[in-house]
Amino acid sequence: MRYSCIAVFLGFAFGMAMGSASAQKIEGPAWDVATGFLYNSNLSNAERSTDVESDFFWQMEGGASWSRAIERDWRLRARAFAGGSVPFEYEAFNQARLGTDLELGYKHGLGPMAPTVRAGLTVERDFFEEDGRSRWFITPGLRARQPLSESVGVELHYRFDTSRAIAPLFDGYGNEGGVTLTWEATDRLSFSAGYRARYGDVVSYAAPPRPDIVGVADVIVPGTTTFNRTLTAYRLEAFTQTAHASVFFALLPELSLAVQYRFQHTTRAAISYDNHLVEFGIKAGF
Amino acid sequence: MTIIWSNLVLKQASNIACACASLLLIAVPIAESRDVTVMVVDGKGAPVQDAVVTLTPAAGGKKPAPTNSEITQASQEFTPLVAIIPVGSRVRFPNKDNVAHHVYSFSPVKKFDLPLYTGEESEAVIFDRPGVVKLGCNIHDWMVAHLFVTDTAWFGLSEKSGRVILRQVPAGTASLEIWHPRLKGNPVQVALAADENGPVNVQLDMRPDFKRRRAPGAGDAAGGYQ
Repeated sequence: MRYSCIAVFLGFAFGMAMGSASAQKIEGPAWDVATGFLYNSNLSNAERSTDVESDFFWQMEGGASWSRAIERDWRLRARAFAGGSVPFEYEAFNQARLGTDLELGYKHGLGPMAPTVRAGLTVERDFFEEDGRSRWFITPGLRARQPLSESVGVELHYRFDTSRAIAPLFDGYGNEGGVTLTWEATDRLSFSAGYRARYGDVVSYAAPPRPDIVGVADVIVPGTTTFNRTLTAYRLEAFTQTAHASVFFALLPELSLAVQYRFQHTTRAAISYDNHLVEFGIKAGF
Repeated sequence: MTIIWSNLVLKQASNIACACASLLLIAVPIAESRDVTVMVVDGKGAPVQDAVVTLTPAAGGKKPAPTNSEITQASQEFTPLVAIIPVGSRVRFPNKDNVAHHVYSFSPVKKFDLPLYTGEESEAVIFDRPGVVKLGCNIHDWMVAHLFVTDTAWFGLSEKSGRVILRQVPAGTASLEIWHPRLKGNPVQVALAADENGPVNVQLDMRPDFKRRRAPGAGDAAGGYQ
C-alpha cells in the first residue's frame, strides 16, 4: 500500500510536469530509447557449474524526461519510462516494466568543470512471466560527479534498493556504492570503467542438497522449475563486487552504439559465484 | 602611393608678343587603400571556417567604432558560434528557446554571468578589453561560443572556403593575426609587405573538432547538467 501511494504521488507529479511541458522554463519532453541484447553467463546465480544456466535477452526501454532549472544552481528532472526484456530460453524472465525517476541536482559553480551532486528516487513496477517475481522496485540514491578535465570525469554513487515481490523469495534490499571513470576520447567515442560493491539479497539456484547454502539462506523454495528443471531457490544476503567497462560510439548526434561488459563476483561465507554480462545496444536521445 | 599630376595650366594671350607659359606641377600624395585576401587552411590543407583574421597597420590606424551586437540562443545552441566585435561593443544574448539559459564567461578579458533567464530581453554586456571570450551555458554544457574582441578596424571571419577579404586596408606594412577556437597555441602572426594584397595563405595547427556530445555516452552526465 505504501508503495502504491508513492507511485500515485509520482504519477501525479509527472502529470503536472507533462501538463506544464509547454510552459516556459520546463525543458522537455526529451525522449530516449535504448534497445539491444544482453548475455548473462550465470542467470541462475549458481556456484556449481552443473547448476549454471545462461541466457540471452532482447531488451528495450523508452522514456520521456522533463527538467527544470529551479534556481541558479539547482535543477529538477523527472522521467517516465517503460521497457521490457525477452529471454531467448527461460520464459520466467519475460519482463515488462513501468517506472519513474525523480532527481534533484545541485551544481557547485559555473561551467562544465563544476562538480554536481544528484539525489534521485526511482520507482519501478516490474511484471514477470513468473508471477512471483513481479515486484515494486524502489531505489533512492545519490550521485556525485567531478569533471577532471574537459573530457574526463569521475562519478561516485550510493544507492539503496528494495524489492517487494509477490513471492517472498524475491523480496529484498541492497546497499550499493561505486565509482565510475568516464572519458570522452573524441567527439564520437567515449569510454567508461568502474567498480561497484553491493551488499544485499540475491537469489541463487542449486540442486540439493546444499547444506552450506541452507545455513545462510533466509528463504528456501524447493522444487522450482524456472530453468526448466527442478532446482532449489535460495534467498540470501551476499556481497557482490562488480567491475564494468563500456564503450560508446556516436553514430549521429542523437544516436550511439554501446557495448558494455560487467564481471560480478558474489560471495557469502564459503559460497561464491561469478557472472559475466555482455550488453550490446543502440541508445538514442532526442 | 599614387602621384596625381593635378594641374597643368597654360595660358596664352594672342595679343601678347611674348607667349608666357606657366607650368605648375604639383604632386599630391593621397592614402591608397587596398583589399587584402587571406586563405586559411588546416594542417591537411582543408579550408578552415570561422577563423578570425585581424590586420593592424604598422603606421597605426583608425580605431573601430563600438557596435551593438547579439548572440542568440536557439535550439540550445549559440548563434553565431564565433563572432568578432570591436572593443567597447555591447552584446545582448537573447534567448529564443522556451527554456532557461545561463550564459557565463570565465575568460580574463571579460568575466560575467547572466543567471537563468528566458525571453529575448537580456542584459547587454560591454566588452571593453581586447582578447578572446569563451561563452558557455551553465545548464547545457555543449553550448559554447567565442567572441573575439578587437581593437583594430580591419577584421574578418573566414568563410566556408577559408577565405577572408579585408577591405580598404591602408597602404604600408601591416601585421596579420589569425586565431581559431581550435587553434593549438597562440594566434598566428604574419607580416604583410607594403605592396602585398594576397592571397596570403595561412596554415593553422588545429586541435581535433571536439564538441561535447549530446548523444548518449559514457555516463549520462556527459550531456550537460540536465
